[in-house]
Amino acid sequence: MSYQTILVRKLYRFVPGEAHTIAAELQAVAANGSELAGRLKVIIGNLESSWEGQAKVRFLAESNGMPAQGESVSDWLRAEAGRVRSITVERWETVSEETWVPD
Amino acid sequence: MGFIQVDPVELRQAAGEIEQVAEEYRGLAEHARRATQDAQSYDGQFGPQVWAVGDEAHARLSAQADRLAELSLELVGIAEAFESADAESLAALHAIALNSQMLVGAGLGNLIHSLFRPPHISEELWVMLPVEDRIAILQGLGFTFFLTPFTDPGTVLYVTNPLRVRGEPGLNGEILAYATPGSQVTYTGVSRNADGVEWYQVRYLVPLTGLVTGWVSSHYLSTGRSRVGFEPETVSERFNILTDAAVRESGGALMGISSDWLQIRDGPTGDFAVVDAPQWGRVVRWTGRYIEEGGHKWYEVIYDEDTRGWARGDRVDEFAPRMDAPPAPEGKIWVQVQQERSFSQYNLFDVDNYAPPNGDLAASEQIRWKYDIGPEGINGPIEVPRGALFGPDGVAMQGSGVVTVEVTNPATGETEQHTVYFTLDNPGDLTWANSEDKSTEWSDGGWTNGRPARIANPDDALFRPLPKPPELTSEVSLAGPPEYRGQTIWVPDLRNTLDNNPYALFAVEDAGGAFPRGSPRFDLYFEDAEAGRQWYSDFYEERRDAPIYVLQDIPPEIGEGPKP
Repeated sequence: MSYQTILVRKLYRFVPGEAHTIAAELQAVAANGSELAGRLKVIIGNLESSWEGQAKVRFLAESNGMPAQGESVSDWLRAEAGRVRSITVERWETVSEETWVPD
Repeated sequence: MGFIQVDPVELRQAAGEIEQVAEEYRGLAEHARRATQDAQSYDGQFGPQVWAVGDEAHARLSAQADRLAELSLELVGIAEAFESADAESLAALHAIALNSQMLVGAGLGNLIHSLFRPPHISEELWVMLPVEDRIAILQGLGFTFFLTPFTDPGTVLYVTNPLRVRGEPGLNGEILAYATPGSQVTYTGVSRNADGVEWYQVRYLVPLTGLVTGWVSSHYLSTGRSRVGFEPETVSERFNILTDAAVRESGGALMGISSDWLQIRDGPTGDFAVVDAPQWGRVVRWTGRYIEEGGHKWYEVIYDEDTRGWARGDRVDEFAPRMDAPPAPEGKIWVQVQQERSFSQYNLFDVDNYAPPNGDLAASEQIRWKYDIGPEGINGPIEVPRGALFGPDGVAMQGSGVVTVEVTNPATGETEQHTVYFTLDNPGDLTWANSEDKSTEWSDGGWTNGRPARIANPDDALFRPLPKPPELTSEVSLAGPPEYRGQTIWVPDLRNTLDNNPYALFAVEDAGGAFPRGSPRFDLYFEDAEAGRQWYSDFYEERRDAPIYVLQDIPPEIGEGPKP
């Protein structure tokens, strides 16, 4: 009996190194988006308190949903950042292994 | 009686803040794309997913930015409408008093004037009162007629804000054209109230395509180009005009417009009328003269022979022409177009020739979706063979197709044949199955479970109708919005990809009525002679940011053009 070197294919699974960097960038975009949504809320709130009339009612009907919409984009980005961070890829590699071969 | 309280200055300030937020969203959109676009593919397991996230983030953030920019413009328009109403009301009061004096003598004229200025309010204070207060006071006295000053059919009105001309009154009316600020419309005398707004039916002469009759919001119309007392000749009396000697002596400086629209006004405040509003990317000439007003630097600019005025300095940037641009004709310059769409390439499958390609797919299996055909308005579900999902090689269609369908015209009861162009919107959502109904997918250059024979979930397929491509008259045809008909465009991203057209210059051959003025969309159609197919390529998704350049007249020299 003896050992022989044979070539075998092995499956490697790993998270690409850049996934964390990209996820962090997307998180940063999400955070900035949230900050913008907050600013927008303040701007619209100020308008609401200083302006009266039908034009205001119409304008606010169109614009009141914008901060929430901005926040929803940020939420989506955060979720996508989390997903990107955990994407696993597979790679088959051929490696040599010592295998016991019966005589 | 309704109560109105508004400060146009505050509205303008809020509009500026909203616009700033919009700009920052745009920056975030670019950031998201930059962060993802260099991800490695890892055999398609990582890169494509990340790129898709980047593209989607870019689209969502840009959409947010676009909507906010629209709201900002709308707010400016509302401020202008209030200011305009203010001027109209004053002018109407004075006109009535004057006419009364001429007609029936000074005594009654003064009486009427006094009536409009209640005796307990001094003239100085009356003039200073916001229009809402004056309206409220006069409404209390029973006077409301001057609230609707534009009532005569045939009145020519000025557009004060980028304005949609719609097929029906109301915000959901089909957009027929875009009227630019400073342009004129003719009121037909017909008005309707819809969505809380008074809509006027107007006639508008669309450059190049002709006269349209449609509906516009009366908020953005004015009887005079300028407010009373804010005519262009008053600028030098009201403001201290400064001069940048270096710019002036060098004949002025070309500046590129960096905001969606550059409102060129008769003077350096929102009180002055908008003369024109060229789009982002266009070039103006700064004469070297400027005014510092309201926290902004206002430049005196020249756009074309008819347009000279004042524009906010933060809406323009130094213009740097592309050094790799094709030679421009004398007096012209290449400028980038702001566009809403960019490239993607579709193979136009001739479904009639191959459907159904697979033995186990019955031709009778149909996919239904709704589609309007032609002006007759057949608006029923149209059936397309499910084989449309497959190409001759058993590979699912992932682009566009053309198919002949039979529909029954509800008006005549007769069966008609129509050619329908369509695209599959969600190829990624479809699951392949082999002939034994086992899932199979393309991986490492082969199918994991043998060739696909069918789609496991064909009902999930989403189709979108496409406009009919134009007849090809050359190797490459191009359709664009009406104002670009006959013009040449340059697509740098396609440079050196086309035989005999190294610069990738195209003449806009087909104006295609579906492209509204003001939102350019260019479609390119390639003929692939080898494959015997027509390729449909429009500026969408894959190269959303692919720039397009057009030729603009170089703005006139200082001293030419109309005087300010």
